[in-house]
Amino acid sequence: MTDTILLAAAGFLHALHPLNLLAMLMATIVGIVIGCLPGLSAAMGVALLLPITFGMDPATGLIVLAGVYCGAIFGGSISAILVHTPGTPASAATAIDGYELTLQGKAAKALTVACVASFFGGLLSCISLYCFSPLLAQLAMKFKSPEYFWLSLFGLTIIAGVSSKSMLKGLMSGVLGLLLSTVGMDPMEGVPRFTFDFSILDSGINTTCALIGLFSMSQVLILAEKAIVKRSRPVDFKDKIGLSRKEMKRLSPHIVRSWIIGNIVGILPGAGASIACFMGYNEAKRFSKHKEEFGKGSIEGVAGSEAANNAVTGGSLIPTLTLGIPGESVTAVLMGGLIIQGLQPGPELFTTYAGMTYTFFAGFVLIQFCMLAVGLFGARGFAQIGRLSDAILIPSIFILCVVGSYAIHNNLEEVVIMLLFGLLGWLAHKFDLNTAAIVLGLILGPIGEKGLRRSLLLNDGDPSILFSTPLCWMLIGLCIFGLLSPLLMNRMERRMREVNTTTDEAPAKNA
Amino acid sequence: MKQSDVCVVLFFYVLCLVFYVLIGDLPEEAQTYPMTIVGCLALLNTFFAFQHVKRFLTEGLLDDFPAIFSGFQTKQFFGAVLLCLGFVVLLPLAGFYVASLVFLVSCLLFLHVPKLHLLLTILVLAGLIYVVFTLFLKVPLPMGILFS
Repeated sequence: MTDTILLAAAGFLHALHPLNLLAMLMATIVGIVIGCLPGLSAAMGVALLLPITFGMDPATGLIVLAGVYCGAIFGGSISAILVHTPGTPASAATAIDGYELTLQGKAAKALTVACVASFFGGLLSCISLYCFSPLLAQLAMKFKSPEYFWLSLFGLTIIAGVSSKSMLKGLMSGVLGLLLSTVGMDPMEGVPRFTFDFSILDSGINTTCALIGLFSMSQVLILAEKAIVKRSRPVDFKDKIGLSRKEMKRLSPHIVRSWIIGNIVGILPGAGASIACFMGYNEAKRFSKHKEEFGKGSIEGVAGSEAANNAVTGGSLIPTLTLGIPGESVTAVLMGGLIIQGLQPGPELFTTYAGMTYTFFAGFVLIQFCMLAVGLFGARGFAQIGRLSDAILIPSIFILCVVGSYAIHNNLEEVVIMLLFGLLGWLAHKFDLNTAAIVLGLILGPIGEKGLRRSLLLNDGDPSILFSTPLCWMLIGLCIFGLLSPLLMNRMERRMREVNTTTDEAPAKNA
Repeated sequence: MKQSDVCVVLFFYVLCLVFYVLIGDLPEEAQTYPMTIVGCLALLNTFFAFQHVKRFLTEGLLDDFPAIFSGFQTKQFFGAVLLCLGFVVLLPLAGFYVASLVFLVSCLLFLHVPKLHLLLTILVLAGLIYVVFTLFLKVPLPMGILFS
């Protein structure tokens, strides 16, 4: 315990280095800009910035990626409130009441509530990051080769099952990722597999190229296929930014409730900020003393949604850092960033690299303060940037994709790989396959393969070793849960919709 | 059953077949793991196909391509893709900055961006890439055969 406190304190000292502070400020600004541009996602932003973090200290690099992540999740609320177009799906619920407040001339109030709720949601999520990560990492210390095999399978089943409309398509996407991860040298035999004599493929498909292609390059193609429309002008707001003590007191319980919801949703792999925002909004409505304001401009609705989606950020980092199971596409890209820095998610992050990890945690806390300051003072400016045309974004993102993938090894062949993954990402988007599952298969593939083949090697090819420990059985149970979770999620969604319709109908009947 | 799902099934079967053939070239010890993955993919694909054959018998074949590609701007999409590919081809020949300038001007004009915005985009992007990649990361961007 004392060690953890000392590490946390040292982490803050490192994170407060001027270079780190500058990095988190810039990253938060970039993230907010990406977030408030409808059509661009947080995953795209993080993937695009991955190559920039190569030359940085690992902790600074991760702080930059987390800054973009948090900034983008909050940034989505600016366009949701001012132009009724959520910048990211995570702000879809914010648009309901946020835009109504804007129409009433209370845009600044709505933005302040979104910013303050996002700040507290993100900040409180850091508590669980500090408390639960070391505990889960201790459990991961007991993992050996068979457990790592099951763990990779669990990660794949849960994300493939939950985040696709069709579970089979999700699983097929995951297995496609696994298949692509076999490209390169065989880890046991040392023979090249499916490399077609391209030396660049000997070390396997570069994860960064794949990430940039799947999340950023595919976005270029998605933007290019749609008619370029002029974005609507954001409302010019004249009311003052700020909240009274009474309003703060009114919002506090909703923020705390949404923090808990967002955190749990974040920790659960597969569920993400887009689900959390609606859950936070619904709970705020259920517990509110002013239910009649919901849908007509409720500050509680904005707070409920925004606190929940930002609380997801800290929660989703817990399984990513401790077990190597990213909960959603953004954390999958973040994990890619970690691997690029030569670090493997797992217990080592809390022992050998504890200094780096706790600096990152401290940076994550400080990012929330950056987000609050930048969000409150820069909302007017960001609203204008949010009008940037797709016609400018298409070539700009493409050039950044090319430079980013070239910068990895100063190699044009990797640009071609990025382009191919861009095409794959676009086709996956069109045919409803799951890009997050493909990435996860690509990342978890080598871990699972090594786990499986080492286990079999140790036991003379006898697969009974894969079922030999209670931890293996626990992970098998989790895999089954992963496969069944779409049914649970569907049931939860249906129940939430039923609650909504009954609460909506009740006042109508009374009237 | 949707036509797009038929394409998905065919794509995965072709992919499995290609990898199955390629696995044959590997030494025997290195074949087991990729073969297991290909087997899993083929099995999942068969389940998926079977699920949709059942739907085909009740609903028939639905043409969902108009919905998938609704609002698809053919000229704009293929024009932008061609310009992107042209940029990648031009990159090793003319170098990064010249190729970028040609690409940005042609792409922004093709997408009807006003001239002032075009100029600003080029300046901002060139400045950003120069500061981040050349000054900060010290990435040797391609200078091009024509200029080296």
